[in-house]
Amino acid sequence: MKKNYLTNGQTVASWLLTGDHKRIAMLYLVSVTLFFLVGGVAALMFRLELLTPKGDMFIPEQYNRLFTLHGVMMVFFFLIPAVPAVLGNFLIPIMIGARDLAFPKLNLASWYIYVIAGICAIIALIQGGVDTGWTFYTPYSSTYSNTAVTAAVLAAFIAGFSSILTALNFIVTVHTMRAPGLTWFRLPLFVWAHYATSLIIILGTPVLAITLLLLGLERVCGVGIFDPRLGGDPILFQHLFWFYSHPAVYIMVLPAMGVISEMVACAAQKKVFGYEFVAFSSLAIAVLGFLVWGHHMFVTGQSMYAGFVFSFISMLVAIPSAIKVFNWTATIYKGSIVWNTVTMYVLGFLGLFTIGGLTGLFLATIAVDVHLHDTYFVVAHFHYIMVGGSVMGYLGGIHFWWPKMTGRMFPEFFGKLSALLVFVGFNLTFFPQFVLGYLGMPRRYHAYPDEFQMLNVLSTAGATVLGLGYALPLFYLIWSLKYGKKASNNPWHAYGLEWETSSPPPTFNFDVMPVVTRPAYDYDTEAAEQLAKVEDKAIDAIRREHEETAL
Amino acid sequence: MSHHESHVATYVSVYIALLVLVIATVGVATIPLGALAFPIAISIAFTKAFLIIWIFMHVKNESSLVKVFAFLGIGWMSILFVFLFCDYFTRAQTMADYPGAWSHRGRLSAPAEGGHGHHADHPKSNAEGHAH
Amino acid sequence: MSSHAAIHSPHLRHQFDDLQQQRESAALGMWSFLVTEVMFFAGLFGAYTLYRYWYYPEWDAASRQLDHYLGAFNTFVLLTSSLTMAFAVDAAASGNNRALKRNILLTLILGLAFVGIKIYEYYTKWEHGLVPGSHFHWHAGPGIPDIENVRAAELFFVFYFTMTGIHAFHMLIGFGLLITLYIQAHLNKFSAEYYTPVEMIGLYWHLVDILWVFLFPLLYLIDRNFVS
Repeated sequence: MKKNYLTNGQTVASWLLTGDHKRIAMLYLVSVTLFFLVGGVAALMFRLELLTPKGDMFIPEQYNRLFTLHGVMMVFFFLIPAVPAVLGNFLIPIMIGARDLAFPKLNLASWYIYVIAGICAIIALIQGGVDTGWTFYTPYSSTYSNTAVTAAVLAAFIAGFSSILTALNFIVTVHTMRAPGLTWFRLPLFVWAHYATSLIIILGTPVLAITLLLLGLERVCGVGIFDPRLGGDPILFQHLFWFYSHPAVYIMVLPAMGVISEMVACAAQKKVFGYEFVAFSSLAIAVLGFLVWGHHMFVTGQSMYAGFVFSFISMLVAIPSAIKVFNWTATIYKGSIVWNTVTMYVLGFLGLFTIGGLTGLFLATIAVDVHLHDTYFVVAHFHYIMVGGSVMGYLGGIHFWWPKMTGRMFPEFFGKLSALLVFVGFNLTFFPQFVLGYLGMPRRYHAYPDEFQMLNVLSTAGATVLGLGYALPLFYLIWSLKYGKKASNNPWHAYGLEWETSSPPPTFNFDVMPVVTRPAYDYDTEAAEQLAKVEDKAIDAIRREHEETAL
Repeated sequence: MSHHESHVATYVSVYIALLVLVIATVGVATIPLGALAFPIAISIAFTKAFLIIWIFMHVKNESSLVKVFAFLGIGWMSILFVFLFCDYFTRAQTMADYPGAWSHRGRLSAPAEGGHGHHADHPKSNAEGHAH
Repeated sequence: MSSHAAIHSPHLRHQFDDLQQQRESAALGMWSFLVTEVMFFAGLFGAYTLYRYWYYPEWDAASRQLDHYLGAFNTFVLLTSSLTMAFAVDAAASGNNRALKRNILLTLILGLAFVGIKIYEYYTKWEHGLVPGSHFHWHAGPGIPDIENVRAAELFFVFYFTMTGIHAFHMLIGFGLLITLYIQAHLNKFSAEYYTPVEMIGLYWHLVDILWVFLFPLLYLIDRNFVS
């Protein structure tokens, strides 16, 4: 049997010392999943507490540590790395026709740095956790909290370097290593999305790094620049924190949008409508995303005039996202739609991301935000985007490229079932939270007035269904590694360089390095169709021949 | 391979220019220029930085892509500054007894009582934070 | 285009098609990294500007506690090390290994001198009770007025130690890089055809210099008008 990247070297060392971007992607897949589980379990625990109005399961200090753990795990250890480090790492060199990323050793280093950061976070957990929220606001985090803030902040600080190295690799690779003939406007939109994300990462993450470093120094040395006792401004911390953390939400969603672009073209068997608009909208989101951070701070005592500026630009930043949604919808229109797991994730994303985005506009309106700030409305808004958007994009992408990454098909029935469970569970969890927030229930509270119980019960029930929807893929995807049907090069009849190489690909991605002559998403060209049919037949015949002659 | 032309002479001239600028920076600080002192000092520093980037770091001879990245950091830092000071420079309009307000400048004493508590502190002790 | 020798050069990594692509990638990668360094300090500079605006009189006085002649001398030292670094890259490009090694060594020595002077400065600050914390103690002196808001002056010194400390930390990393570079040059790893690591480490060193070019006036020269 021909060697592919999975079989080329079977020792532990060949995996832990690999330079192969595909293996590194798999290493990330395992670690990212582990941290997702930790963050998910934390959420299930505090949702259990919220079944009843009284704080009867946890004392407030424990409750605070649970939602902080959930936030830190999900933001820094799942959402930021997941799509780029798993799917981006795996696919980008293949999509641009290269043998690997520009800096394979830095790529491996980024995984090790991520693991070390994760260990720091686990140490913080073992030390009892942190109760400041993932936002670490001063002066509580710098002076008054008695929890493992330093370890947690160190974990996030180190994780930032992992993120930066990945981004650096992507930027350079896309600029210098594209295959002959692969101009920028022939690139898959997945690559555009990751390029824009990488720009955000290198411009924003260092500011978080210095902010957390200063916070850590203040905690350790007892004096610092956010310390009101020295005349420091605690709100300065928030400015510097959100300078990164707002663009961070675009780091979390843009790659998933890139996944959706790829999947929607395949689901509709049609090229993405308005390619240039979708490509440029990624860059627009990257730039505008840096100019809106004050919308997290409308009620902090920030200047009213700054509030105006941030509010206005926050309205503007919705536009490129809307452009994407319109173009994806137009792609589906009059497309030749196949109903399968992948299509379900695409449609789920489109609906849920739209709701999340629109509710962001309510929050961007200062007068409304004064009432909704720090309520469950905000929680629902960002979960619609982060979970309804990013996680669905990630899960969809894992399913879409599973045959390519592993050479196996997953059982379609269970794929559809979990997509359905995730969609239903998600809405049941988070829609009631919009109502709760509107009615005034504050976030990060372990107890609440009796009249909110019904909605909280619905939300917890939804969380259970959602958890089930997440757990199922864990089982059937692992099952498929051994028992799944073997995948052909292009099981979805998709268009893209990754579908022209074998499933799984060889270590250096291609047997013959490609030269690109066709536009992206060349679904419409008749020649492309004919070529695809001929290629598929030929490849199936060769594979059958190999299988017959192999042991 | 092409024969590499030595740029030692250029480096030395830029170096001398940089030394002169350092002396100028120190000199300018001794002249009472009021509000102009800070912008002038920063302009001199930017000039030095530009010379180092353009000549010592060879950006002059690099592709336009590298040129963009060379100045991207400073460009982005200015975004941080502009929007940060969107808040701080306009707060005085909306807050009373604000530390940066003009009424407090030019004095070496603390602002008036009842403000944000920036009183001359009890020395030596790490006094617990004032209720804010 | 690249010669046959360049394509099969022992320096060519497998992911690249030719040495030119490899060098371009290294340069772009290093510049992207330098962007992150600038943004790393950007937060500090922003915070500095805010508090200088808020506490100008106290920061004016606090800045006068620093020896700006020593600071200026240190600036000369670091600028000279940038010059020798530029010479080093130039020597590598010309294939002159002896000059390369000599200049790397000079850069390292000048850098060590810089940090040595900084350590001396830190020591004098500690002696004068100007290290933030429970031992901070303000004292007036010739040209240094008495101030009421001592906490604001302490805040200045938080910035002084943090900014110059993080800068010095970057210099320590630079020393490690220079030592590695020297060893590689000693092992004849570089030639006129391949000297990319020299260039890249040069870029890093120049950035550290640029950062100091800003730190010096910001910290030492807030106001040196002669006062009676």
